[in-house]
Amino acid sequence: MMLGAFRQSLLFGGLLLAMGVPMVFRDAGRAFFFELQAPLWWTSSYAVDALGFLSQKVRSQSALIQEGQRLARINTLYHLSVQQNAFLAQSVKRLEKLLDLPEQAGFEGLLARVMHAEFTPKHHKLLLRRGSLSGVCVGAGVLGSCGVVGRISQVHLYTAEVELISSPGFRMAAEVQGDLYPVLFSGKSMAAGQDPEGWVQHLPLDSCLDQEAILVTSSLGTVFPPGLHLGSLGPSVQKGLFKEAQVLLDPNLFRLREVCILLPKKDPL
Amino acid sequence: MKHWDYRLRLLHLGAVYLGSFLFLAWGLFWRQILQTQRYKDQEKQQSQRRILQPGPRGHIYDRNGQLLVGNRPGFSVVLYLGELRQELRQEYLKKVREARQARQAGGQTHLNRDSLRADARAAVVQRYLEHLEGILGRKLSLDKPALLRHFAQKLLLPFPLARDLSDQEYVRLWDALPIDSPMQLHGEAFRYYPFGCAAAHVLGNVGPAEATIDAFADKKLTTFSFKTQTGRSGLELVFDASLQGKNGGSIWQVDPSGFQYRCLESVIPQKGQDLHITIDIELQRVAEAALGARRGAVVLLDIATGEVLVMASKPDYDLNAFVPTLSVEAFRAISENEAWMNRALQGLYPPGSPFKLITAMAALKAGVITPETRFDCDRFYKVGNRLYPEHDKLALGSVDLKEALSMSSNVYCYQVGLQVGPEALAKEAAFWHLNSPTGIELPFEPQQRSVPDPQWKLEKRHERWYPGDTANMAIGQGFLLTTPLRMACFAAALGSGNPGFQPTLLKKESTNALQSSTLPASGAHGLKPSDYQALLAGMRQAATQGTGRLIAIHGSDICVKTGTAQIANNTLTLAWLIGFYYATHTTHATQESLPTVALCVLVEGADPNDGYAGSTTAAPIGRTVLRAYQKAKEKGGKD
Repeated sequence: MMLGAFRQSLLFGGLLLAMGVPMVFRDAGRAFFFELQAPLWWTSSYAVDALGFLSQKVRSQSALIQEGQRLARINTLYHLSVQQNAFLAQSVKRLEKLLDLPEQAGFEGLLARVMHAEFTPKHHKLLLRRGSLSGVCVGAGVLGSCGVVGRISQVHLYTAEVELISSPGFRMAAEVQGDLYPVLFSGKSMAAGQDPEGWVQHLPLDSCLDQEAILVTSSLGTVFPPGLHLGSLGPSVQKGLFKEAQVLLDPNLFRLREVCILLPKKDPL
Repeated sequence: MKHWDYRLRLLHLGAVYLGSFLFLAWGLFWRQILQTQRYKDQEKQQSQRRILQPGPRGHIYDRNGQLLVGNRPGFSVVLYLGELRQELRQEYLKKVREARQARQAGGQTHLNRDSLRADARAAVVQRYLEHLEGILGRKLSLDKPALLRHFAQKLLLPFPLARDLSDQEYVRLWDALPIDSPMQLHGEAFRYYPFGCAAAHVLGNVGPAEATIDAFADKKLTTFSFKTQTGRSGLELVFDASLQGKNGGSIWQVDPSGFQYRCLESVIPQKGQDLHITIDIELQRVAEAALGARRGAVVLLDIATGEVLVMASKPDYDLNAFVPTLSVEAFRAISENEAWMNRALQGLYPPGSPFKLITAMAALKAGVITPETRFDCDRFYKVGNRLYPEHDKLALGSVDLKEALSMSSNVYCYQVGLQVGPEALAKEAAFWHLNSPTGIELPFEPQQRSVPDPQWKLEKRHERWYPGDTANMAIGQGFLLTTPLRMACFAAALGSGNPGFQPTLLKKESTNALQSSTLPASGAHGLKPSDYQALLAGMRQAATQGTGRLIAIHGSDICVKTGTAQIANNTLTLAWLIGFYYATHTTHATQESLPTVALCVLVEGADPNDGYAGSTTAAPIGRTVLRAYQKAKEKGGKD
């Protein structure tokens, strides 16, 4: 009698195990694969940086002096821009106070090197060499030299994943430059080797989209500061109440080496 | 023998089997081949659903192409119930467990599964609503009966959680909602009125309605429809069929529970036809501003084409308050303010002194007077046993037609009216169509006017006609009732000499046909040219020296007739003005020189202390409107 009950329990336990094993195996496999890959990417990323450093080392002194002079000139221009920005920021603050407008959300930039890029029909991702130890959080915006790059989708201790704006699952509010009406931008699936593209929906029927129309981040958004470049608009089509248009993204989006993660400004208190 | 018996029995059995088999084969053939279409249709009906998406309504533009009514896209947060099946099931099981535990504890004796299912549905949706509240930062409430109704009747459609989101909310939601969230944004068209209250009564409002089956009309399927909008008043109602967009939609395959499975077909909704109307919104706003907080109406008509340039009615209401739905508070405020009525079209008032023009024309046509005929006009005129007062109770002395019209003499008109008789007055009023609706393209125009005569009084009031009734009628009082629009048409008809003047709100591509129909036929007014000119001279003098002198614009030729009437035991004073304006100055207008626009102003004065009168209240309003018209013409921006 006892033996029968034991057998039944064993059978039931075995069944449960058989049902649970594939899921555990899948998750464990995925984690294991990532744990295995991440150090490799981490190492290769540092190796690439070291190679870059060494390649700079072999340059002649005169070439470095020329490069230094060029950078000094650019720095001078940047210093000017910084002063102008400080003045504009003060003006904006004063106007906000005068008009009793809510203060815009502030951001802090955190530079991060790109370790690895992954492009599948479902996801376009970058793996960054910054993680939760550096204060990176899920949902933070990521910028690059081409404008908006994407949003942080996963954070690990030393690494973080960015879902690129070209990713089919990505979407965010945006606006056409010069027009305050918010529209919806989403990434678009594309064939291998093709330049990145997006799709913009909910464009008003009366919006005038010339060939120069640029899509920028919305002034009402909370993840990105307003006016950051997303892409240029292609021809539009009418769909019911709205128009939709293709967004041509910067081809350098897939070739980025360094990005800036936007973190919410910490309260000084 | 036994052997044969056995075989016979086998034969019988075989026959039974064969019969049965043939019967089954026939049944199979009948079901599978002959009834194929029927079962296919039934299968479709059971597994396919039609969802209708209403098309946006057409726009309404003014005569200069300014947008009066448009569509603005609005967004709602909706919850796709099909995505919640797992959560609903778990919540329901949790509720059942809790109920069983409560029963075991002795609290309950019976498990009401329907009630538990309803509670589970409400709890799941409430969770999403709370999440939404966190994103939007505003309080939202769940209408549980509406949710349960939605589950029962519209399972295939998403359940709306919050409607008409602001731009900021739209952006916040796109930033916060994951792509696979059951909460999504749904775009729909809301009516948009850039000028708010302006021409509210003319444009009319829309209300929610069920969409008609335009898309996939040939298919007999269970249909779910998003709410559409239908015209409830004004032009929105009259031109509802053309303004209404063509519905689009999609056909969905559903699972046995009725949730969406996959989209089979879809059609994009189409926008309705645009409407171009004759109203000039700038003039309309000037007229409404001139009326201000007073109750009344202003109508301005283009005499050559019959086009209505202005139709203002105060008090009014902001049409944007109807979007997405009119709140109870707003409805109450409009009702308390008595703002629902389009006073220009629906307000029935005694015409007052402008009716003296009818009295004069009836007398001139009957040969009772000539323009030179003079009457002594004392402070009062006795009819029967009652004294009827002169205008402002002042003795005017001996006056002729021109002076009588200029000074709006009551006593002159009493005497003329009594001489010509009530039947002739009623006949003349009918000649100028004061007893019939204008037929303008607006709903709810009163069909009954009151132009009384002895027969009318006997039939309606069962009383005989007294000479005092004639005296009252001669000055536009008593049982006479008409609308400001009709009086404006009368002014236009008199100015153009065409009694058949027809107003219109519809802007036509070419107005030639209309012009030819509204241009006066020679002598159509039935007066001798000299009599007609004398009448105009009286009105012209009224605009320069008489009761309507406050309308005078330097260098302009204007003919007017003002009036002040009382109704409801003198509790309501009416200030009237009708007239017409010549774009080119002519001291002696002839049949060839037509006035450009006709005007009617009416102001209601509920308080006797207001001191409202046609000469002091209506005339300055008329002047403001005509001045604005003149300026617009000078700018050359108007056609």
